[in-house]
Order: sequence, then structure tokens, then C-alpha cells
Amino acid sequence: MNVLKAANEVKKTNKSHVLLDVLVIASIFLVVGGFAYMILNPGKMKSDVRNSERSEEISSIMERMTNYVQTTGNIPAVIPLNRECASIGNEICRIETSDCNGYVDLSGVLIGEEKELPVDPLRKEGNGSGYYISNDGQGNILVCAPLSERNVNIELKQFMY
Amino acid sequence: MKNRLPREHIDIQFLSLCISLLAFLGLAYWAGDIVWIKDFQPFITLISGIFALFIGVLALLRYYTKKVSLSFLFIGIGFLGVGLLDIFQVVLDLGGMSNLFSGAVTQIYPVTSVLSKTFLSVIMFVSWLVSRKDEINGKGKKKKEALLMGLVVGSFILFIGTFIYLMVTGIVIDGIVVIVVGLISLMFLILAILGYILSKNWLYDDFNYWIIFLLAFLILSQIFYLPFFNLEYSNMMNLSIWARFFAYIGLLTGFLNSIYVMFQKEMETQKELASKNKQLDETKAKVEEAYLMLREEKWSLARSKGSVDKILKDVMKKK
Repeated sequence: MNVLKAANEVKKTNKSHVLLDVLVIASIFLVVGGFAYMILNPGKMKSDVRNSERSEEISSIMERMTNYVQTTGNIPAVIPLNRECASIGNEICRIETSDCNGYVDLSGVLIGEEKELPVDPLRKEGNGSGYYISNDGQGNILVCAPLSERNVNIELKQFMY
Repeated sequence: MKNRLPREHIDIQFLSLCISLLAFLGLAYWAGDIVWIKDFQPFITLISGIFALFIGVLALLRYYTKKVSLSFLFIGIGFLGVGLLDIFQVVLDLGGMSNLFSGAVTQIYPVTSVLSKTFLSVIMFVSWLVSRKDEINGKGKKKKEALLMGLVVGSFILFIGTFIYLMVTGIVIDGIVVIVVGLISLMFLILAILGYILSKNWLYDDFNYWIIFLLAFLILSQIFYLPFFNLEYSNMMNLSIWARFFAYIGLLTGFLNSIYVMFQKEMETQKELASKNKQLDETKAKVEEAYLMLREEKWSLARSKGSVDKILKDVMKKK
């Protein structure tokens, strides 16, 4: 009986050794894979693409605001007065939404163009577009994308007069 | 004869090394979205420098108290030098300690940091070379070692040669000197880790495992420094410093562990000594007891011998 018990124990320890060996080898492969993944880093590539998309989109929003000011001579009254761009109440409302309470509704500002405003690539839900706009009270309009990734600050400031 | 460490223990050690490397790569992957990581760069460099000084002092102390292996002397000198260079660089960058958390690093590739990295990698390689002289290697083992190291050196020469060729042909590469020097130190680090792994001293001594841990993180730090990964430049520099910091923590843990092991061995020796003393006392008591018994028997025998003589005298008289 004792011999059988001892044999079983030896089998068990051998099994645990094999398991540990397999784990060590698998983790070595994972580390090498991790290195390869970090060289390519597809996550960062996607973030970079989204960030450049954001830059283009805030430029297009700014262009429309410039058109409005050039046509009317005034900064749109719907743009809140705030020195901070990414602040509560400064988020631009989606065009297709009927309820723009608490957001900046720019639907009346878009003149002579297709009534469409860009939405941040990561802003999937809600009535906001993910882009913020404010008027600093000194003739400047600020447009920003606070949802930008990898700590990149995407902001535009333009003097309108 | 050295005692071989349990196989399970060694497996767990290497598993933990791989997991920590993976965790660090995970940190690198998400570092781009962590805002506060940038603010700690000078602070972590300063702490790393202090740790390096600690390691240097401990290694030198170990060398002068035991004088077993010259590699401790080299590790000690290397880390003292690196610690001083790192601290000097932080002070130089910040212009004082008052803006430790707010000061920005002025240079991308400071000379002292390039120097300290190269110096440490060369010193680690030399420490392996010195420790190699202490042991007796088999012929086959040496051949394998030479072949692997030759391959590494060859591929690095090709790599560095390509960079130099690009420079000579006029294709301008920013910081070519830093890249070449960085590649040379990376080569020395890889040679050192290969040497330490092939020497298989980690089968007997925990400290060798911690040296491998240090070298693995130093290689990671160098890879981030060069930089080879697809990450933002500032993040690469940051992560390189963080990897170095973890490498130093690893070696410091190794030193503390070896002090603990030495202490445990001393305790065991003391216990053994105490039990041997006890055995000696018991044997002494037994010998004394045996001696007393022998003496008692002798006395009684002498007594009985006296009475026999008396009877013999009486018999002789009657005759």
C-alpha cells in the first residue's frame, strides 16, 4: 500500500513539474509575441487614425463657424461664453437629434450647406457629438475634441474678426 | 558540493520573470493613455540612482567581507558609477530639486544617460566574464556558448554596419551616434544574459536568477530607449526609465534575498553546533558514568579479593 501511495505522489509531482514547464515555455512565447505586438502596435495605429480624423473634423467645424461669422458679422449666439473649451454645456449636439437640451445646437448656424456635423469616432451613444465649442469673449472661437486618445490635445482657436 | 535548488522553485522563478515582463509590456501598451506617468520621469530617475548607489554599496560590502567572486567587485563599481551619473543628470536637468515633479527633461538623449547605460552594460558583461573564470566548464558547453555569442555579435555587427553605411552614404539619421552606442550596449547586455543563463549557476544560487532578472529588464529598457517599438517618443523614454527602475528593484531584492539566505544558513549552522554540543555533553556524561561503574566494580572486586586471600591464609595455617 505504501509503495502505491509513494508511486502516486511521484506521479503527481511529475505532473505538476510538467505543468510548470509548459507554463514557463508558454510565457516565454507570450513575451516574444508581446515584443512583436509592441513593434507593430495596431492599437496605437488605430488611435492615431482616429486622432487625425478628429483633427480634420474640428477644422471643418471651425470652417463652418468662420463662414457664418463672415456672412452675418457675428459669432453665433448659441455658442456658450467660456474660456475653457472642454466644459459642461459646451458639447455640440448631434444634428439628427431632436432633444438638444444641455448641448450646443448648431443646426441653425449651418447655412447654405449640407446640414451635417461630424461625430467623434468614439461617441457612440447620447445626443452629444463628442466635440465641444465655446466663445472666449475676446472674439475667439474654440473647438476641441476631449475624447482624443493617447494624451493628444486636439484643439483649435481662431480669431473671428 | 553545491545544493541544487528544487525544480519547482526554479520554474516558479522563471515564470514570475516572464509574467513581470508581460505586465511591463502591458503597461507600455496602455501608457499612452496614462496622464500622470510623464510627471514622474525625473523622480523615478532619482530613485533609480539612489537604488543603484545602494546596490553598489551592498555589492562592494559583499566582495570585501567574503572575497569569493570578483564579479561582486565589478557589479559594485558599476552600480556606484551609474547611480552617481543618474543623480548628476537629474540635478543637471532640473537645475535643483525644487521642481522634481514639475520640471521637464531638457535633453532627449543626455550624454550622461547614454554613458551610464553603456558603462553598466559593459560592467555586467565583465562581471559575467569574471564569474566564468571561477567555474570549470565542459568543452561542449564552451562550444555552445561561443557559437551563440558569435551569432549575436555577428548579427549586431551587421545591424550597426548598416547604420554606419547609411550615415556614410549621406542618408541623415537623427542621433546616429546614440543609436550605434545604444546598440553596442544592447549587444553587451544580451551577451551577459546569455552567459549567465548558459552558466546554469541559477540552478544552485538564487542570486544568479536575480541577475538574469536585472539583465532582462535592462534589455527591455534599452529596447525602449533606442526606440524600437511603435509608441510615442516621450512614452518610450519614460518606459525606458521605468524598466530600469524595476531592474534595480529586482537586483536589490536579490541582494536582500541572499542576505536572508546567508542568515538562514548561519542559523542552521548554529543549530547544528548546538545539537553537536548536546551530543558531546551526553557522550561525556555516559563516559563518566561508565568510568564510575568500572571503578565501583573494581572496588568490590578488590574487597572480595581481600576475603579470598584471608581464607587462603587460614587454609595454609591449618596445613
